[in-house]
Amino acid sequence: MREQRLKPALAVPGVATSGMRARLGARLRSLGFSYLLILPAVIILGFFHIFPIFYAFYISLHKWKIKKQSYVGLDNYTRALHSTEFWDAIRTTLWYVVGTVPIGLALSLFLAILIFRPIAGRTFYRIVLFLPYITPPLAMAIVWGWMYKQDGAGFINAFLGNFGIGNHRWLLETRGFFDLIASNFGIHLPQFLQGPPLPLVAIMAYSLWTAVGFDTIIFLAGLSNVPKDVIEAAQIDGANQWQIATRVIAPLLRPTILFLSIISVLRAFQVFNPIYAMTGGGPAQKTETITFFIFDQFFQQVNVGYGAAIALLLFVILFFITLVQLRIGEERRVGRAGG
Amino acid sequence: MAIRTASRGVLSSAQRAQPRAVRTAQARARRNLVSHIVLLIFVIGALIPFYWMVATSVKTLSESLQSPPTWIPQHANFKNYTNAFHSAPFGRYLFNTLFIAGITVICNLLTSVLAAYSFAMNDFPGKRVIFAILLTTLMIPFEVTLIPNFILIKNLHLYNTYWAQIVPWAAGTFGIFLVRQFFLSIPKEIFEAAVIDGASAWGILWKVAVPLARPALVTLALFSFIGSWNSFVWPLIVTTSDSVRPIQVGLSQLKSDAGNNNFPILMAGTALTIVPISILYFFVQRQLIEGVASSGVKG
Repeated sequence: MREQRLKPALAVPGVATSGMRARLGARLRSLGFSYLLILPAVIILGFFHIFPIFYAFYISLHKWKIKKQSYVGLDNYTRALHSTEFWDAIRTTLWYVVGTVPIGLALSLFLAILIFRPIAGRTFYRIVLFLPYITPPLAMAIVWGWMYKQDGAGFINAFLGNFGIGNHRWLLETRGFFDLIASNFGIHLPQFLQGPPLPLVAIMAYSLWTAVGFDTIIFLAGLSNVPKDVIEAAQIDGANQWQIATRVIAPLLRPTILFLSIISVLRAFQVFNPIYAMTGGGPAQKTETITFFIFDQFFQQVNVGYGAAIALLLFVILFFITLVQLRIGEERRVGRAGG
Repeated sequence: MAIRTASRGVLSSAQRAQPRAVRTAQARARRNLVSHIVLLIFVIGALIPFYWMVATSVKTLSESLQSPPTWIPQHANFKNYTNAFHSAPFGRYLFNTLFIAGITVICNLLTSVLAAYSFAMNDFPGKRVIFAILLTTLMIPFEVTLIPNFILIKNLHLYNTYWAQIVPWAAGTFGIFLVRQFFLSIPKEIFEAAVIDGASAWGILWKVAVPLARPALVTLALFSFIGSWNSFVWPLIVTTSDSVRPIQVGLSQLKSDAGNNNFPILMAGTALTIVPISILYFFVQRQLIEGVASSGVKG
């Protein structure tokens, strides 16, 4: 049927271009049609992705268990800000962000620079390094949990044993990472210097494993935008590899670095699957990140209003962190243009 | 300063042209060898969890608990796979996952194509504002919408159904953005020619724009499918029975039921969810990697 409508009045080619343009406009720009086309997407996104933000705020103002109970104003927020659990979760999350984002970015930039040069097997390296990113995070976290098995049967313990590193109770250890290292030298660190608990560090390693491939691909795309002649000019100037990497490529990669640091921070703040699959927040809630805390309040404790309040607090935190990152990125750009 | 270095550079490179070429060739060969060694270490690191999963999945329970572990399984037996199928309805999970993922992909493609066409081709009041609002959904943490959406799904009586797992993901900003970018890159002349031929806007969408946008649509379909296959938290929250649960939720069920002490069976179950998607990946890696690369550049 549509076929028949294709050629109702064949226009003579090459005549009255502006008339055709007008007709193109008339046909394509019919307003009702435009709105009709975006309607399905707008309804779904509006209903399940935009309206819920406001609904979450409404929920957060109530004592809400399985059903809505009573209006409590901002009590859920003050309760969160006065609870040690909330701040513990924030601290755990910050350790996680600090432990994964910079290392992830540095590692993937390093890998991208290695693969970007015309060496054999680039495609192979790219394919394999990206693979962890697309595999199911929950399933892969279960595999890692098994690899971290606490005795000699665990893969990681057996592997590290080859390097003289003794068995660790990776996912069950309550002591801090720095404290464990220092105790090898007979030093006992005070509480505030003990660092993130070992299970959290184990989860960080898993997260780096999944994320580095993605970041590397983004860096490779960024590198391909760096003009070749700029690098060649630097080489002619006698700059060495390190100087080219830090003085020439890094500044030109700033937009990519900014983009990646923003999405890595967002991603790290929202870590959930590995926590759920590997430690369940334990031991002694030491790996309970903010999203796990929300999940626990909402799904296990059925404190729905409280959970919604914490989720919105997380949203506010992320919003401001992203703004700060954008501002820093902007300042650098201005600074560079001026200097 | 740039000028100073440049002039120095020209001088020195002219003076030492010959020996330098030889030296750089040698240096490059050495550097490449080092690069390959470093990269291979990372490649092994990337693949080891896959190997350990498969290796464990064919071991007996007692072999899996040996200390130190056997790096290569003594005998390959596939009993754990049949056991995994027996201890949890993996066939059902697989069917559910494929059904949910299939419908989600189709819906997502459809809504994205329609909206992207309108955003790319047409001008209408409020276009910029609507598009900007849709883009902000990319920045909202999943946890914020999780709780209200759970309540919405319950009130819509969609709790514990396929539709609860499909409808919220039947449209996505990423897809609209991706397809719109592609539509914008198609030369205007092609559309004008179709108009001259008397095609309607609707006809142009399906006969011209969609066929041309195939690479973008394939990329979107793949991301949508993988996202659906990998999704865990949302299905975990909105389902209670095996008849509608997808494979990731089923796997976590297996972990808490049978697998906590029986890792060979758990690894077999895990392999059932990881191996199919990894095989798919090797066939379509180019579209996926290019899709990610282009989204990063634009972002």
